[in-house]
Amino acid sequence: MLANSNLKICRILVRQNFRFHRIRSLLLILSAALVTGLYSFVFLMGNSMEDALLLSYEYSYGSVSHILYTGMTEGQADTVAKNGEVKSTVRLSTIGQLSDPMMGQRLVKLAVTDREYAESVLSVPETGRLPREKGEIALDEFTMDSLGVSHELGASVSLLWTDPQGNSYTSDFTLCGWWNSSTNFTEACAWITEEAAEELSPGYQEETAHNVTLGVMLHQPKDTEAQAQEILDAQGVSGVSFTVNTAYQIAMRERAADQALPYYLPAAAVLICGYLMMYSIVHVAAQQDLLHFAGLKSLGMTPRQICHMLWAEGCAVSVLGLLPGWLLGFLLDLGITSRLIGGMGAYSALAFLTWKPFVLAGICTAATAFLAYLRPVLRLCRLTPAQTIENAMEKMPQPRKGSDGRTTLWTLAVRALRQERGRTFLSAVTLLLAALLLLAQWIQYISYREDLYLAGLSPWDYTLADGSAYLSMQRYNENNQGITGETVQELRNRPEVVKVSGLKSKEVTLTASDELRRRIVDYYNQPYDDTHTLRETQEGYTDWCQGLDRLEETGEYTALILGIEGDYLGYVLENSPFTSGSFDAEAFASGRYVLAGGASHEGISSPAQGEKAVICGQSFEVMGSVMHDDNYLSGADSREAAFHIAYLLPAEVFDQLFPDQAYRQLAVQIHPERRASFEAYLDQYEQQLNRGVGITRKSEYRESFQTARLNSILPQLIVGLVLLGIAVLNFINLLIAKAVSRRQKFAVYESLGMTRAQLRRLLLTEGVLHGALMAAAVSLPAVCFARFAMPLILERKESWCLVYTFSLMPLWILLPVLLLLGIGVPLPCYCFLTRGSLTERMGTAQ
Amino acid sequence: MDIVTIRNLKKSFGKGESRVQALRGIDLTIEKGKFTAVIGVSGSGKTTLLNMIGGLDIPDEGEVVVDGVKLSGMKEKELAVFRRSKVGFVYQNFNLVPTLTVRENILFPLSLAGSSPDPVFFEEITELLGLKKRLDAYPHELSGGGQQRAAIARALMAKPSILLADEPTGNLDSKNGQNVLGLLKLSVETYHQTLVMITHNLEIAQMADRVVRIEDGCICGQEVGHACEF
Amino acid sequence: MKKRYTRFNQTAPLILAGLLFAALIWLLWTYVPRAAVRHGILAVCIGIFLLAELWVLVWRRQISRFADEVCGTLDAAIAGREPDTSGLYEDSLTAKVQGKLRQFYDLMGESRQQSLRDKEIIQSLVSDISHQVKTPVAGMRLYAGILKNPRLSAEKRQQSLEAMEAQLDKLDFLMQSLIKMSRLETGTFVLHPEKIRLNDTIAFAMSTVWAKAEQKGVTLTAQCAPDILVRHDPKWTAEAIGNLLDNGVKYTKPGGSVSVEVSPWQFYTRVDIRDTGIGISEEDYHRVFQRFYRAQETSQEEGVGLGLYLANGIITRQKGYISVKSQKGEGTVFSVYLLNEG
Repeated sequence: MLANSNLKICRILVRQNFRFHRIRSLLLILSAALVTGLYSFVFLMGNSMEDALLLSYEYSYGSVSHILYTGMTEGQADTVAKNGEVKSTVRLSTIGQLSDPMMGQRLVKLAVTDREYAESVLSVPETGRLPREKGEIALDEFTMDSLGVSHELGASVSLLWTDPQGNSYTSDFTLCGWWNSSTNFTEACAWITEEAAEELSPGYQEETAHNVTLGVMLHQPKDTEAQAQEILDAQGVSGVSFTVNTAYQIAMRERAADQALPYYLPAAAVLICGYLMMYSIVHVAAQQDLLHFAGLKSLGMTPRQICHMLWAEGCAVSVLGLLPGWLLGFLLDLGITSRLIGGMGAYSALAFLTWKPFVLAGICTAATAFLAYLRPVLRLCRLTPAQTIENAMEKMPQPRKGSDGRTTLWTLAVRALRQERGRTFLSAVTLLLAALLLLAQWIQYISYREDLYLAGLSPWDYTLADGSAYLSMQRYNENNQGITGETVQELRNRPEVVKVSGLKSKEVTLTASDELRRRIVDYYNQPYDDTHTLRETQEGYTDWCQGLDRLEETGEYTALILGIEGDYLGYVLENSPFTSGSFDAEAFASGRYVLAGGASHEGISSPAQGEKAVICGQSFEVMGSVMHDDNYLSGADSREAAFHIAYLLPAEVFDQLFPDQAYRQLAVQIHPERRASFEAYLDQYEQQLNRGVGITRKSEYRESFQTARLNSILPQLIVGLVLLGIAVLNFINLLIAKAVSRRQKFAVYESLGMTRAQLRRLLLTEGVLHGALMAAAVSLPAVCFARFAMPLILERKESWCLVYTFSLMPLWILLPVLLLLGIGVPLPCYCFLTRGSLTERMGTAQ
Repeated sequence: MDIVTIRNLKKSFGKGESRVQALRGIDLTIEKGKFTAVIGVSGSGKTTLLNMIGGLDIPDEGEVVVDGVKLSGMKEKELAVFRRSKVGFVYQNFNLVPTLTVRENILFPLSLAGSSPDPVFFEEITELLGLKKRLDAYPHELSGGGQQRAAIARALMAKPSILLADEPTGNLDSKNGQNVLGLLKLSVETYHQTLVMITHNLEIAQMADRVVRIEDGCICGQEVGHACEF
Repeated sequence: MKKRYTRFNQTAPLILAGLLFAALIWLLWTYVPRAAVRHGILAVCIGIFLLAELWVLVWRRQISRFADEVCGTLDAAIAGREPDTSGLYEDSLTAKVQGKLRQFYDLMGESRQQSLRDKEIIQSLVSDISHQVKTPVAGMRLYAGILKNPRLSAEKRQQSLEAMEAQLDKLDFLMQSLIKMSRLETGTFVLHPEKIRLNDTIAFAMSTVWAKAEQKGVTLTAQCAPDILVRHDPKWTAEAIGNLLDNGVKYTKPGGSVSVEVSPWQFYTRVDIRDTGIGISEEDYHRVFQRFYRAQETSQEEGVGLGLYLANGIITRQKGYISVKSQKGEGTVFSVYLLNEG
């Protein structure tokens, strides 16, 4: 069947409609823009989050390359670079790796300077430059801190390193530059010049030397692991190991998508509120529209043409709203996403800007518009014109029986309430949704407890840690002299300081008695749950398992001797429950007793009360054993100490045992009102040459907590506020429409003798009734929701600093606003309604 | 030859207690090329009958056959095509599309059908109805009579077989009403169309070939008018 | 020339397609190293080509079906059968064209019917005429019989002659009317409309009834602005108005009045002929214009019931119309609406 091409008239009608109903069209376009904006914002935010996560994976991998092949010869590298799937390569020649024990788990390669490679692994010096002269070296700050190299250009560096054959050498260099490598911690490079490399390891450039690391960028990274192997197979290269960038692994991509999902979820709310908004605008003049369409239909407009016309209108509205919407979304994204993604500077939103969210937002807006138009279209297509007109007629509710026929203002007002129930319902639902969303966000906001968080993460105003123990991943260098007695003394002399508590630590190897050994082995062999023993739950941690095995076989174990005082002692006593014995302050201070710290789990996994412990030849009696919560320790211990028993000694006793040991960390409490001057002091202290001290501030934690707390609700909060705005507008619109559409009716009332005062009272009563109705419709479910649903929702978040707190603040704000609107809106309506003469008004409504 | 045949047509509105029987079994035939006036007091079912003939509404019972095609079995989309190709409507309240100019309004049924207008015919009609100077105005800028003339032009433009007029002069003063009526009659005669007009004005009804009187949903009398046999 | 062009038209796309195809194969084999990809791309291209071909085929079929359906309708119309009505109201091109064909077919049928009707009209006219002529002829025959009597007194003879003359007048009047009517009915009379002053026409019409009104004692007045120009045929319009005036004078009692009033409107010029006669009952409104209609109470008046019929015919032929409004016993207003431009 050859279709009739008669859809042009539909487009003309739409265009003319836009020209004639400017305000309505403008409102529609604005709402479409708002919807597009919200969609773009949500998608941009989700996308930025996903990208930021992937970037963080990339950072933690330490290289932007998709695949890193290690241990290649030059020839192999060349063949791999020729593969069709390879887009570009960077290469690195390593002569060995640093083997200083202080490096901990970090792998630092001694490598020949290659700027491209350095850029690909984000290891270009920020201070100073890459080495040019023989004997120069560039290092990252962690390596420098771990080795105790001072932050000074030209400082001498003495390195212990191992070549691939396993021979160790010590070489001296001068520092020519360093960079802050907070992003890739486990791997780093130490750059030296080619001549230096040739001198240190003659023949490293030979074809046969397996010392090339090749970073490969692929054209289409998909399953990188398989692709890496395929490339090797295709090029016939064997005996080469490789790692792939986690950021490009499917599993990691899925993980990132999972983590970013909560940021995409507000899209559902946008869909609902966008639908409600557009639907309510489309239906502002439902009655006139229906009559209009009935007219068009009676002139022979087919259902297909009506469909086309409404769709065309929906599309036009969406398209016109697209640009402003995108702009709005972009601005929102710029303002909010930058807050959410830390550590990227003020314009992190810009960094992750792509076209996809915009397109997606456009499509979603069109879909929302489509949905909003769906109901009218379906309804109009089925009905004949006469039925349409019948539909447009006001439906009167069934008259109530037993009415005595008398009419009072009250019954008139109630009757008005019962008219247009659909729209009233719609308005109430929107309000309720907005109220619920805001209530949920508010309760979540106040349920995040700052005191809990701070008590858990930073019990002290300031923590000063040794440079090698600043980050939790860093291994504490016991030989460092970052914080000395003088530092402590200086701090104690500051007028702002209330209390300084020190902590020192030392790892020693002890031998356990048979009894202790058996007890510990049995302890870890006890079942943890139905399928695993305690030991099996730790299987992932090889270092820990080796430590336990050593204890089981030889009885030797690493003991972590901690000298603690003041606040640290208080913290331990508060957070680590005793499994045997009890604390006696006087006895502890006497120096004859130690506290033994075992696993943070029920049961004794350490020497118990009354047993003897011999540390460095000196014998102590165990005062009690605790389930040691060692969260207060800065930095990490050595690999051998992954399995350890902690012995807690008073600081003075520790000093007697290890007189030259410097402080690992300090807890500083200050007068809160003198914070500013102390901050200034710390800043100046940090700027001193020796930066081997890491300072953690409680205020930083507080700030970051407050930011995180706000950020966690921000996307939903914005959507909720927009929804509330829409709901309130809807409500006002409802009141106005109800009043204005009855202009003629009121004129008739007046002509029958209703006074102006009575009319005003009628309008006011109606307004108040509406307000009360809305308030009731909103508050009841909202209270139930806050009371019964919110605790469950918060429980599912499983956050340790969340404590459900009941509050109805948003409701207390919303309800008076509703009532005020109910009173306030009818008054201007009244002015409009009573303008003009009676006859004029009775006539105009036609 | 009969262009409209109606058999036992019944229609009611509303439900339950408020049910109103608008038509209670109407049998009627309308001859091709004739002017039929339907008279009756308001609420007697005139408009419902007209809506049925024009395919604007679906009967509860009985059948309406227009130009050999039964309307009762048609779907809404076929009815729409039927309306725009066979029927021209002239309403009491004109029912012009307010957002379109007079020219677009007149050509509207043709646009809906996707046909291109016959320029000579358009010229002729607008000339006859005195709309030539106001073609680019919007309906609300025209007087009541002007709007009704535009509506008539629209109804005529598609050269429909049947013109259905629902009190076309109801909203006009008698002078304009006579004007419009004369034009309607004239065009029907000129273009060999069938005119069915609702009116409650006997002075107008006298000009019909045939007068059908409806009372309370039933036909209660038919008379032959004066304008026949020419 | 034309033929060659057509042939070129047919072969050129084929050659072009072949060339493009060859180019595609060359490109694929030169630049795409992997065989699987090469074959894949080729397959996709061939698929697209086939799909396009299929699409063209579907279109061609639709167009030919369209032509078939239109031809079917035309065949039916030629054979004089009623065209098929199924699918007439689909929103398709076929339905659109068929609808138009049907309309055309109906119009043709209409004109066929018209000529049939004309024949019938002429027949009924003949019978009407013979019927109407019978009465005066019979009368004349009677008087002729009386006159044949030689013993008739001069006075009687004079009476009979006068009566005969009256019958003759009546016959003449009847013949005139019938001729006019027949010309009206068969459409053979020609109107010569010109844009002239209505005043003159009305004056002429009034002059025909002036004497009669004077005789009966009925006042005859006219009110017409002299500058009103209406496009009309003065002779026939005067005839029509004259008939209406004659009618008015006839049914108005002595002492009554017949007035003519002209009011110019936008499209029509309205001429009201108002009398203070016996009036017409509402049920008879649309009967008064019928041929040979005479109301019961007017039977004593002379006339044949053609005046109003003729007036209506004349006015309608000029794209005008007549309406009537009356109050029983108080008078009647006949309104003639003449189209200003026509």
